[in-house]
Amino acid sequence: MSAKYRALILSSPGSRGEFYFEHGLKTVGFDTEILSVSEAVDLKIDHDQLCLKYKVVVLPGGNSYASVLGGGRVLAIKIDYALGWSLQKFAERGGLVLGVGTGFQTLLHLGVFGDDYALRINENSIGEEGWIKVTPMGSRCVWLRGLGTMELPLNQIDTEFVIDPFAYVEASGRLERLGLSCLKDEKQDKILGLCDQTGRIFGMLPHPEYFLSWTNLEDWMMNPTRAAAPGQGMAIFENANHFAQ
Amino acid sequence: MFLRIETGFKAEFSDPEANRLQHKIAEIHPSLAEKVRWVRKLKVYWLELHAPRDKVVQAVQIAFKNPVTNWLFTGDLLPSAAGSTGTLYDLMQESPFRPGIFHGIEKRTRLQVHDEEAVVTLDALQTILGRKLPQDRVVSGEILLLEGIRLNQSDLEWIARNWFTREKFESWSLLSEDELKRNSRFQSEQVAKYLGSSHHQGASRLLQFRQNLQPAKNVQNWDHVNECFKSSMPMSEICETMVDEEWQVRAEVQFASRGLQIDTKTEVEFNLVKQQLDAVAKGCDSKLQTILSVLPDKNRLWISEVYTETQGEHPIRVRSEFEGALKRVAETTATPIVQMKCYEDPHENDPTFFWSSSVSIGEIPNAEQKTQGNLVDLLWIGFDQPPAYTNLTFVQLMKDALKHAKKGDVIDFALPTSGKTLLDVLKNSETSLLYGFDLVVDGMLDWFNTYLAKPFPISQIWGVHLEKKDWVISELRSRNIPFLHFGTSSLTGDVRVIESGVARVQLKIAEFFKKGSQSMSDDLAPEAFFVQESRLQPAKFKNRYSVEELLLKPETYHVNVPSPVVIRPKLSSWAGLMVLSDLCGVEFNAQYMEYLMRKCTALGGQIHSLQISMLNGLQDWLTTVESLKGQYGILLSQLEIKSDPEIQSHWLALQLVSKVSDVRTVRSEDFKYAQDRIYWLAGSFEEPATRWLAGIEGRYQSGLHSAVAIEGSNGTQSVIDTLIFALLKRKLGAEIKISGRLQNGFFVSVSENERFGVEEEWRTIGVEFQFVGRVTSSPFLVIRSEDDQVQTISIEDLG
Repeated sequence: MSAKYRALILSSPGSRGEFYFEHGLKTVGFDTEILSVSEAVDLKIDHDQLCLKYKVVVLPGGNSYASVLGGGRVLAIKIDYALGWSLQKFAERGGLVLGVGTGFQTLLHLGVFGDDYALRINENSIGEEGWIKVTPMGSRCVWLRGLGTMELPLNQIDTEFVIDPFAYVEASGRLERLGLSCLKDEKQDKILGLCDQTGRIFGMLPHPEYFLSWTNLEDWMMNPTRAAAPGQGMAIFENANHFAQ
Repeated sequence: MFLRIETGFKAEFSDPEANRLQHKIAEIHPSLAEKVRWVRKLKVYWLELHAPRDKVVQAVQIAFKNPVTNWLFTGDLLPSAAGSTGTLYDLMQESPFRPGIFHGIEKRTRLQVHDEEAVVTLDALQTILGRKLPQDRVVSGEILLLEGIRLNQSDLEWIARNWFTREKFESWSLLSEDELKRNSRFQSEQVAKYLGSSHHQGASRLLQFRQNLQPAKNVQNWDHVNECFKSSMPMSEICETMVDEEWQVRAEVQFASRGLQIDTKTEVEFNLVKQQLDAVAKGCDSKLQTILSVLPDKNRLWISEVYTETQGEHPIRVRSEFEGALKRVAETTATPIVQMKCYEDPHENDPTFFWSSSVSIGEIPNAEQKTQGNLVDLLWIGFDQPPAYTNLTFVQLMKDALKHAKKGDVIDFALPTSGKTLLDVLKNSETSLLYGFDLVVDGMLDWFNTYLAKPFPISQIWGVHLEKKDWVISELRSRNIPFLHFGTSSLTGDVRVIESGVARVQLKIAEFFKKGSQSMSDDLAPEAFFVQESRLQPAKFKNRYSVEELLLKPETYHVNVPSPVVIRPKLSSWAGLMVLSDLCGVEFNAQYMEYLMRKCTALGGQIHSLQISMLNGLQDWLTTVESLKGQYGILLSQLEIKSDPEIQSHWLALQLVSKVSDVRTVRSEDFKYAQDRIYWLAGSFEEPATRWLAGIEGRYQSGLHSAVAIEGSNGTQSVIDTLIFALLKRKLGAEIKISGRLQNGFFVSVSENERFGVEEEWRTIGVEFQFVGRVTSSPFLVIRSEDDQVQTISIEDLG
């Protein structure tokens, strides 16, 4: 019988989807715990305790801290200064980190991918939601190992990944050279996810937690025989569990 | 510190929110929309943060800077975070209709309205700064930058009223193009003006709580008061005339200062330690001192000084014996050693003299702690007129109130005043009013004059925490206990009596607490035992100008770590202590001490106390030390005074204990971050580089991530050894190019962002520096020589 590892879902005021993550991670075999930032501070969970206690840290999406100072930034400050966690070191010690939506922005603010990348809402944003086909690039990412093109829901279709224009050549080159795994939009070739050098920290804009079952698809009735099948988002969590084992 | 921060998208990115606003205007008011040709929106924050400038700058960078997509306009604070000019002009250049005519509409949340964005922003900033102060404030707002030749004032007002602001919650104003291009709105005065006058400064704060403010009716003889304050007249003992023994709270109040002077020989640990040391290193003499008042709950710090004659034995062996002894002591007393330093003097003396100093830290179950230096309001509690009911009833009332206040941790101290004059009480309160205080006498001159000479009736003086005074006042009112707010403690080092905002009496705290019969020299050696030529140099100890950051873990023993040392007593808290040690010979003077203190401050410590030990102390030292105590108002304790004619040297050991709010912000010897730039700074003692490092000159020391002194004189090998030492801790690497002679100096690392400011300051001050290379994340030290030969050293293998 394989061991059960613990996954921490770190919520913050305004974050969403914690229970979907909990369901997904529990289904693939993790013990999960939802903890808000303030609880973590009160419980004095420092970096060492984080590493000892948890195998996976999930930063959910949503509207963390009302996006004051920019999406995910206050959460990043809390993680860095109030909790004193280093997610890079957590990953170096074998931990896995997933940031989705605003969680991805938090990872960018924490500088796990370097300082040359950012996310922004593009010019004609109307806050549209929808489903998008994405394809993993590169083979380093633990979370995306063995996965092909997936269809996943995206809360803010108009969000775009920006590379610092002043360091564009170096930064875009680094994406290829260092083998940072990306999740790209199939049609427009937009970057929708990024994985660090260790392959264990992964940030993505689409929400795998909202596609845990085939019935999450709007048109699942077109193919009713698959009603009991797991959604494509579940594959990402399964990868995490395989790695943990 | 008052700041204004503006942040918006860089010129090369479009602004979706502003565009949306423009579309809305077009839908409702097409004719006006034609006039608005270009729009941009920026977030604005007005900040009042009570922290050192360098920390505020760092916090602002972390909280607001987004170098990829945004510009940050801060006036002169961080000019490099904006475009080429650092003003909104950079943004205006993006307009397709430039030069055009630009207008600004500024809106801000009204001060009385709950501002959620400001609350979260303040929380984030305070999280970065590592502390929360009630005086810190943030107000948020926005600026709409518009371009339109035909736009007039009524158009802008229409936009402001109908589309940009919600007037119930927000106020707004129009800004002209000139105002937008200038940076005058970032000036502190302008920001302070908007945020309103601070509620927490000086006399104005005090006067708010004065109930019956009356103008002075008679002419006050301030010279007489001044004379009284300066006099070191014998002070009467506090009359214990109270009706109940429980009333005597003095012992608890003065506990903290007593802790520093405690006689450690009565402590269990002392004998234990001495026994252990005697068993291992025979013939040594030892002294152990305790500081109780500095550390957080249940912790204490031991600073031990041990010295011995080696009696012909090899110093290395003696040293290892000491290490063994101290480790055993640590195990026995559960006080891990965090630092041990050894000095030896092998040249002139026979037998060789050996001195060791160590810092240990441990936990005791019932150590009562009391922090010092809190700012408090001084409340006199009692009846000015004869009480309406009996003394006993009133005492009971006050006892209950005091008990309640102590339970709520709202008072710092409570001084019994009955039977004593105001002056007597204040002069007996050195512990509580250590750093200075202000008395504000507006409207209560009669009270002041009366009790300056006449004893108080049954009453007390409470030191009430600033942030909790409202609670105390309402509590006293609800219990019908009369009180008077007559002053506040301060950190100015002065005693002031203020009337109508003017300091009528002002003198230094040391002058105020001067006691006629007590003199430090009484306890010290009366004269020099051996005044001799300065042929003996002080022992050379390593890394004089460096800092060592040590995060204490209970199970580990760190021995032989060069000083200074930073200790984090509790794993749950980042606040800690820094101990800087120095050993001086006959050449010791005030400058040495000042150097040590300035260095301490420059490294991020708040000076708490100074410990000295002397061997064959010189008379000059006494004068210097005495003057220092008076000048800085710091606590001073003497650990050891010893005279030994056999030893022909004069040593003064100094240990400066300071508080550090966050041990992570202390600069240390190890290189910390990949991509940091490494510079070589030339200089030994008294050269510009060392003066700059010590914080005597310049203000950009905060830009440094680390500083390590080049040790030894083996040419390039010394340089490499030093670099390896700095890289080992974090297993980082470096790529450096050695050209010329890099000796007698320091390697420092500076982040890319700070380099321009730091380099400019070095040039201004005259620090000789040279860019050597960069820190890298791969653990290899790659050295290029002048003839382009490459040498690679694996740091990982060495580690």
